[in-house]
Amino acid sequence: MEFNYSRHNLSKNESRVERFFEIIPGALSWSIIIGACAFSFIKPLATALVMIMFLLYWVLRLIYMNIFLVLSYMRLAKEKDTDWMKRIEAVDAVPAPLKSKDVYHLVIVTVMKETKDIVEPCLVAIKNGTYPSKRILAVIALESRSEENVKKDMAALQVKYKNYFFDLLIAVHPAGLPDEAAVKGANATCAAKKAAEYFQARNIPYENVIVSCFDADTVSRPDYFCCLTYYFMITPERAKASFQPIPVYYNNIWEVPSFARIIDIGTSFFELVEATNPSKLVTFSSHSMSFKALVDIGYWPVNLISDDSAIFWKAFIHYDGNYQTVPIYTTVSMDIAEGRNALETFVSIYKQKRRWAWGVENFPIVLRAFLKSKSISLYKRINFSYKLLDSFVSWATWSFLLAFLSWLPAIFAGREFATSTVYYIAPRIRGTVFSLAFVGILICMVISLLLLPAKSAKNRAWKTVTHIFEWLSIPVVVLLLSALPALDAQTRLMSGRYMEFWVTDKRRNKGIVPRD
Amino acid sequence: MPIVRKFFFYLFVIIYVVLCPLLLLYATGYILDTGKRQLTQTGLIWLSTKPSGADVFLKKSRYIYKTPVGIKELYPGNYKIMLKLKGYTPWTHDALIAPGKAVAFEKILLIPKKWRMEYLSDDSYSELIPAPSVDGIILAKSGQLGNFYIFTPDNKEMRPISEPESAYGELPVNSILLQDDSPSAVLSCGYFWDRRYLFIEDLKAAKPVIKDISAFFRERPSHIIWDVHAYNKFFAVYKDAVDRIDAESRVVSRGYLKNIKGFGLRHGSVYFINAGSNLFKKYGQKNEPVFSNRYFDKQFFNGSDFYRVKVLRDNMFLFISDNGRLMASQPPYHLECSGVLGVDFSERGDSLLYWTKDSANIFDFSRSPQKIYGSGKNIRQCFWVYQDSHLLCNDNDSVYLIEPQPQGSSHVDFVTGVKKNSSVYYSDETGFVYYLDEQSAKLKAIEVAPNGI
Repeated sequence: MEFNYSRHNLSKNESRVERFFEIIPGALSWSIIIGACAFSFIKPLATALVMIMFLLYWVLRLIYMNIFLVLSYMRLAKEKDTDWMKRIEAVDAVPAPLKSKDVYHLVIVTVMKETKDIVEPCLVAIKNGTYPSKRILAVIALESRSEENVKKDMAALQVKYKNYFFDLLIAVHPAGLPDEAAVKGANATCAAKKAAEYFQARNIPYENVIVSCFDADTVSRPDYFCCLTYYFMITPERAKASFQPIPVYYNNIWEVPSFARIIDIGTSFFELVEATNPSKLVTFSSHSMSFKALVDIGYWPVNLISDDSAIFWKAFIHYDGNYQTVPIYTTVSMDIAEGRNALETFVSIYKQKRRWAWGVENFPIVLRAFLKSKSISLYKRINFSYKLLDSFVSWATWSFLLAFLSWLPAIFAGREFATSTVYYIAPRIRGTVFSLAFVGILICMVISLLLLPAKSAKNRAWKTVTHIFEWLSIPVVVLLLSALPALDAQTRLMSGRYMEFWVTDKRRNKGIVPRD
Repeated sequence: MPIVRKFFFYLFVIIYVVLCPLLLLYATGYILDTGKRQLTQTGLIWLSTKPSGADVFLKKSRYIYKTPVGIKELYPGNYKIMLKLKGYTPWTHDALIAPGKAVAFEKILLIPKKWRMEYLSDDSYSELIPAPSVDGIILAKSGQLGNFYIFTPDNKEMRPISEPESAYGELPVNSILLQDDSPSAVLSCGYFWDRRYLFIEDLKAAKPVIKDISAFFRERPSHIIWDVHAYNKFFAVYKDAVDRIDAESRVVSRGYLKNIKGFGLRHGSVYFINAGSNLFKKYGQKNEPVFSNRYFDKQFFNGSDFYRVKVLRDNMFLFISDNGRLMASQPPYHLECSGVLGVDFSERGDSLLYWTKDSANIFDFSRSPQKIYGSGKNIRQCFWVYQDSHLLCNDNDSVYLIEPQPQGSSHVDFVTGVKKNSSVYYSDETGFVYYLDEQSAKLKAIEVAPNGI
């Protein structure tokens, strides 16, 4: 379906529909929060019963997610030792339409203010991977408004690493192009167009190219491109697919404050769980996709902040719902947003999470497309609409419900509620639910200990012990650095105060050595 | 994985669909009555005692758990509850369990078989005056100021208010005026032909400073009220007018308020009821109506009574007339026609305790006042006890501990007899009631709400 995947250049009617859908997530989240407060006061007994229903729903969903977290982790641990090249050779050995020798990789590394010490580990990781780097075209997507030292650093990196790749290009994205916003998607699109010309000039069909769009700090695992190539080769409709690795935040994980570590481990866990549900998997952060699909759909949106998820929805709509995200069980490691001190780190993470939560901007656009589309099945439209709305609203409200609102009926209890059995039994139910939830936290603790990179030899035992206790802070951390930014983002969208792209601060105290 | 996911998804949906109604039924007290093969809604009793660990008996059967405990799944009906703990008098009560309802006995104070008593003085005293704003007791050996002492229960210190040889030591004390939240006191002393008013700034000071402020009063005021938040500022109430006294600059504003029916102070703000029965707050020269009498009927402040205005919190007022008429700014407005001897507002429980000669009542601002103790003979004082869950009454020279019940009549336990016509003091800090022994008139204390158990 031809569709303008943007909130700009819409007809009057489309603008109205768009605006209506922009209001829904925020309005729903605020209605839940305010409604829970108000009804705790007006109808505490009924609210307490609704809270019991919610607590049961929440704890079951937590257990459900924990099951898939464990299964997904086991799969990741199992695939860690897979010899992907062997698997590729095995695929090559059977008659197949695509041979590995025909596959090319395009890696776009978007750079705005990141210097050599951030970008170099990304290139080194690709170069040192098990996949032959000579089949990889790397493009540094540089903003023309980047500072001179950044430009000089990138030029130096080009000279240093050009010969290790199929080629290493620098695509400078001019500032202030019409219909573009200062967003990462515009920069990546400019680089992808330059790469398209490059492939065309060399008669390399787009169907054979896999494009990976990496943040500047992305350090891929050595087997990343082998694993990606394998999945690309075996995916039947590979030209209508994205490939999602598990994002982890190991680059500086032992250098940041505990709250930063916990919240980003949580993000990795969420993606591990999501990977078990490919039919509803949406691309997130650094990921890969068919270059042909990228060209067909008109590249990344150039005026949306959430380019990572927007590209999935854009393709999904373009291909009338026949587009999928294939989970690949390998990791790409990135930096945790960091400041000069704990407070700056907190603010930095808050802004980053708000930017992620700004993915809610896709909701009105996707729903507008779903309203218009006749070719996407009704089931898919309802299913994906619900998933989108549910994920954003639960993201913004659950922590508030659990931390404060589930207690309110008892606090506001009038005589009638205080003399009901519910008043006395509800705290017991809540206690049991929170005890079960603690088991879930214990599982997360264990998996994080297994998943995290080795600590430096110094203070290793101490770091392990403190990391275990860090998990106890998760209710507060999630409230302040997940729910609150999400509510902030939804409120901004609801009130029409659209966000600008904010480049996350990335700093390295120590050099990153890509690990396997 | 997708199949596994689907399996678990449907499994969890089934669990939720089954468990959720069961949990709601459980919370609302429903159980499956296997005999009748039907769902029956039960009730619950919550019992919490101080000290904890009492055995629970319901209808003569001993319950397995000890207090604090919630006993669920009780069929509707009457239950005789008994709590037993070694060294304490058994506590019994009848409770009516209704479907889906909980009867909570949340702060049961178990009465020891033998009260813990402390002897605090070797001397005998003629009078005991509670000074709750300094958590202390004023004790008098005789009527002269030199024989007045302040006793502070927290450190058990006894200090004279004025040395016998001081200028005021031999003055007879007629009455002592104290005020909520103020460490100060005004003493009405002297003889009817030479009335003196002495101001003590801080009763808790090692050597309280006494100032004679008699010169500021044009005649004998019916009330003297001072501003807790402003140094040396007094208000003298005469019949229907108020003088404002600045003792620091020695300025008396005569007729500061005229033709008024009531007066009160809170946080430095002046409140008064004008002749039209409207309540005002005074801001400098401006009078701002707090609310007009459209909230009340026209007879609200009828008659010639003068009212003390007590501001409980913003927009929550009490009006107490000289003859003990008590009214509130909230329904049902008229609490008592006459005879109210004292009030005590519990901020913790948002409840008002007031008493007359023969009854102690609680008004929680949501329903009509409840008579908690109605068999009084000559109630002089009442106190909130144990986090405002109990009352202590000084009735006819006996002290009673009263436990209001969610159902049925209150539990009334005799604590001790006291010196004839003397007052007592209860300190929530220590949990002791302080009194003058009925025989020896020595200061004693009994622990009624044990702390730290």
